[in-house]
Amino acid sequence: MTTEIRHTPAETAYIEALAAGPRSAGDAWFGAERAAARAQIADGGLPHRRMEAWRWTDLRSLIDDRFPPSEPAGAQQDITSDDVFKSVERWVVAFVDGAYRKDLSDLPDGSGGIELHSLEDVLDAPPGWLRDGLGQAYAQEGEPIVALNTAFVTQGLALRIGAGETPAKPIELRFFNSGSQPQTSLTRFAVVLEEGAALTLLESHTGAADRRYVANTVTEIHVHRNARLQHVRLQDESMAAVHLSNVHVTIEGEADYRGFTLSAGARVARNQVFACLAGEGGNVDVSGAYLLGGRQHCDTALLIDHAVAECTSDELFKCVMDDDARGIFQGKIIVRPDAQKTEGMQMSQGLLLSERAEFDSKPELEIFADDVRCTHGATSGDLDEDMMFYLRSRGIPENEAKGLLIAAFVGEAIEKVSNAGVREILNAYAVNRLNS
Amino acid sequence: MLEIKNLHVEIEGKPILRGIDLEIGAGEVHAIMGPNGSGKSTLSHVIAGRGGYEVTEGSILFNGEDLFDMEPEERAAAGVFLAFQYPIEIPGVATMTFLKTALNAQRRTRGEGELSTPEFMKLVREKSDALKISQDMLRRSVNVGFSGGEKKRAEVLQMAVLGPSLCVLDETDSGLDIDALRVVADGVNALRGPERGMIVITHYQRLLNYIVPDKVHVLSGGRIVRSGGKELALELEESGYAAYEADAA
Ligand SMILES: Nc1ncnc2c1ncn2[C@@H]1O[C@H](COP(=O)(O)OP(=O)(O)O)[C@@H](O)[C@H]1O
Ligand SMILES: [Mg+2]
Repeated sequence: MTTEIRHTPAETAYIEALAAGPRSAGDAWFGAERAAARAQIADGGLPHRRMEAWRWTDLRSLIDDRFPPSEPAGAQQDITSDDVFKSVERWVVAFVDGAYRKDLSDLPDGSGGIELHSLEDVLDAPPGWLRDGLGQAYAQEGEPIVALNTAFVTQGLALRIGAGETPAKPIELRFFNSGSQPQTSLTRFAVVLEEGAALTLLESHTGAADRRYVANTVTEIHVHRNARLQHVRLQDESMAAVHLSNVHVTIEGEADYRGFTLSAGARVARNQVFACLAGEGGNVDVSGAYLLGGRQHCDTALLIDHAVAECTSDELFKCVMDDDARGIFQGKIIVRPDAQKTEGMQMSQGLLLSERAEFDSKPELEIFADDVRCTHGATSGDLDEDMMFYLRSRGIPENEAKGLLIAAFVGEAIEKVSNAGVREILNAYAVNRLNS
Repeated sequence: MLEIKNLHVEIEGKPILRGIDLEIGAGEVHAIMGPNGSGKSTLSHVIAGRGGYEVTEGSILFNGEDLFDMEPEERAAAGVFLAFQYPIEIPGVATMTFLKTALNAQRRTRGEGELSTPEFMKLVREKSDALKISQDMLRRSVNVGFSGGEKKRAEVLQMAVLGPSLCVLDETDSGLDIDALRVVADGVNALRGPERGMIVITHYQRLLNYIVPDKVHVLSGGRIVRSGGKELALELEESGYAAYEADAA
């Protein structure tokens, strides 16, 4: 029996783009990986429900049209109204439709040990730290979001903070998609914190209201000994968009990575985080909140890999689903044989505001060491009736009471963000979204 | 101000209140005493408007208005307040935020202007000092990590800040030591006035030494089986509820 593979329109558009012309810049650097990624797209297409990690997020059916890779245009674009981190003093690196936009950026002045390159400028001659220090994302063999990115990407940023340096302000990576035509924007990021460095890295992902596009970002992060990275992402894409993000983090000894993602926008969002604790005494926290309504679908897939001893990992996801929205959380923790004295905590909680909303959670522990403390839990439920009555009995109207409880629910996860100004923005965002 | 007539209430088909008649005038304090399970909390919940109860007969009028036509928040804005027997913990909502939201929501509903933050802070400070409630407690989440006594004091603080005209206190004395009982009773007594009615629900006579009622009712088996003056409470202290439980059965 032969099975004929029929490609979806989205897959066909990608395959046609592969044929149209290989992007050769960077071939000397990652040509082999790019060739493999192209072959994977041509053969395997998009991930689908028969792949275990994608069983809830079948991109073959969820991406229902052609979204060819974007041709960076550089058209006039006003993105001021989408400035979600406006009240935080920070530097900004802007990308519109996947293209780096120096004109819309507010770049660091070179102080604070910041080295920053547009990826396009260094594709053919990457600095040593970039060429040698990165490449974990490729090692994740067959990872479909990464393959899509590797096959087509030409834009992005390489950012490095020198040893012992702490830049005076956070740096924001700002993504805007105009969706002026249906297309896929692809960007790639390399972030390296050298020994003892510290940085707050912000990301905002927005798009023109109700426009259809696919946004794909792949980020590789290396946090060296004693360095600390706080990484906060606010995803508020167009409600018709597809958001595909993939973050790889390596955490060395005594280093800290704290990632937080607020997922509020996009029709379909898939966030993947692969974190490897590679040095003793390292700490990782990957947390987030969902604010979903309508037919929104958001899926987070985490893999926390304890490779060595005496590290900690924490994950807390607080997910609110209204209407027909669907939230998914998949969290896998691996504790390798050498990783004694590991402490791992994982919790995912769904709050369902409608009978039709759905929350699926799949915690997974693979523990090969014996002296470890790992806990995980998942809950799902609707608003607590006793709390609602208590608030209403004090004169707080039903909707306002709901808003208070929902904001308190996601607020518990937002607490994880250490930057007070950013935390306030996220909290206000949650309250406003719920009131709208 | 409050007229309860022939009130019958069921929970999941099981009769709990079986014909309550009770009238509270402005300025009066009524005590309701009775054994556990006699329906005291059910009565207080039905007055405040909690769901899950089926009123099969009877009515409650508050200042002439049918309470059953009003949502819990509307009853609150109209002046009904219930101090819960078991106050609810609400993680992530600061007590201060909660109080301010509640007070301003009630004021909006009544067509009064909202209080500014300084006005509100002044009011709360005044009331919380009197009840020996620390500012730190007000910054914490509603009732989370409060001791039993702190929860009861916090209920009385809410009552003092919101200034209702009908106060229903459901076993506000249970779990309090004698010092805490005094503080709470002083707080309640400070609210007594010609415009305000109170229902003080208690299992023990002790509280009524501090909050002296105008009338005492004995609730047993979902019915008021006896009413009298404040001396009835003392009598109950002597004889216990045994006689009434036999009555109800
Ligand atoms: N949610 C409920 N479901 C079923 N029965 C209940 C519920 N709440 C109270 N009851 C019953 O109603 C009766 C009265 O309870 P309650 O009003 O709490 O009494 P009290 O406050 O006087 O101790 C008791 O028999 C109790 O078991
Ligand atoms: Mg009771």
